[in-house]
Amino acid sequence: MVCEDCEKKGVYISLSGRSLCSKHFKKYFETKVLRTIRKYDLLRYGEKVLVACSGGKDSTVLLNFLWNLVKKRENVAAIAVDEGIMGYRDIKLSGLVKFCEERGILLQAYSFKEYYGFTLDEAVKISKENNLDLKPCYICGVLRRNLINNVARELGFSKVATGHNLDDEAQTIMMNYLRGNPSMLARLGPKTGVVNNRDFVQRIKPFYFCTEKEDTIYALLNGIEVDFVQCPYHIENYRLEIRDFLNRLESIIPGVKHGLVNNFLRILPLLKKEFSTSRIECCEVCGNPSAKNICRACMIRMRITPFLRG
Amino acid sequence: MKIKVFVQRVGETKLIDLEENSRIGDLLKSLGISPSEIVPVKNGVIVTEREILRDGDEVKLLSVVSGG
Repeated sequence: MVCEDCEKKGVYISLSGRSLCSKHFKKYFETKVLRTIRKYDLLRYGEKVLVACSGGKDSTVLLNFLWNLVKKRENVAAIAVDEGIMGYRDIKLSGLVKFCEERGILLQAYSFKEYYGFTLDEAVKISKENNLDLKPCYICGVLRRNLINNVARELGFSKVATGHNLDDEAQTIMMNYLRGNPSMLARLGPKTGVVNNRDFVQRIKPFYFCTEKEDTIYALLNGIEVDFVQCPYHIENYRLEIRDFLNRLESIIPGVKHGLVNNFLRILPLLKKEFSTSRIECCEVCGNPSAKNICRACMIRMRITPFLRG
Repeated sequence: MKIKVFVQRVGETKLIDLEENSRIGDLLKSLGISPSEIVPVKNGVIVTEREILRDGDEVKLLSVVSGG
């Protein structure tokens, strides 16, 4: 199947059935990301952006994209958080360190152990042994976001960019629909976070309309390694079921994930209006913005720390 | 015809029997894999699901799924 624009060999068939070669696929992908950045005002000229990197392909491709896009290169840096998952994150992050060194990108490296005093493995073990009912992905997500927000604010970054793509967003929308959690839905979209709060750095998702497949092809075409190292806690994740369900549905009804996300964006302003009444307080422990008097990160710390030995 | 297939997600290499002029899409159907889950690489080159296969081709199905 040849490219419809130049008759070279196709590497991708778009949702509308267009076959694209590597050169025209790159153009298609980059145009889509730039449109997302402009349409949703994700990044303005001169803004400093911190890219949250996991060592996986999505965030590495995003870092590469923004590094090439932003003219003042000191305005782009990467942050990596080692949660302390034995045999997983250490492997993923070694590739990222090399990637940043080769390009001269500033990489801020942090770990849960140094920042919070315990690894994710330790927290999960404590939670299980003491019936705290804290799921690994919940602990990890809350503590990662808290750490990244704090570092971004302290270092003067106005945006945190994440590699979330259309598949991720479709899964999160579906998960919250099925759980009956409309207030969480209101927190989604290409740009998230509390506006007009100096303690909160807004998060942006430039790959919002790119599928995971498109991210992967773009990574491969740019020489970025695509590994398949699964997080050991992934099997305890509800997201996995939703992901497989949506992929099965997509093969029967092509475009179903795009439809889900695009329809969600139409109702998002209404959801934001409905749930914007929640007052933003300050956490009594750390002072960060929080919907409750103690933020979720401090709540986790307060529940885990008493069980730490030594 | 016989096609050697490496499925990255399960880390397995299989030998699959397909009819002449089958495409990557047919291979995916026979394996029960959704096209949105993988990027097919035939003989070292990224291809689409419409790519026609020949006897002895080597196909890698790279997983698009992140590790979490």
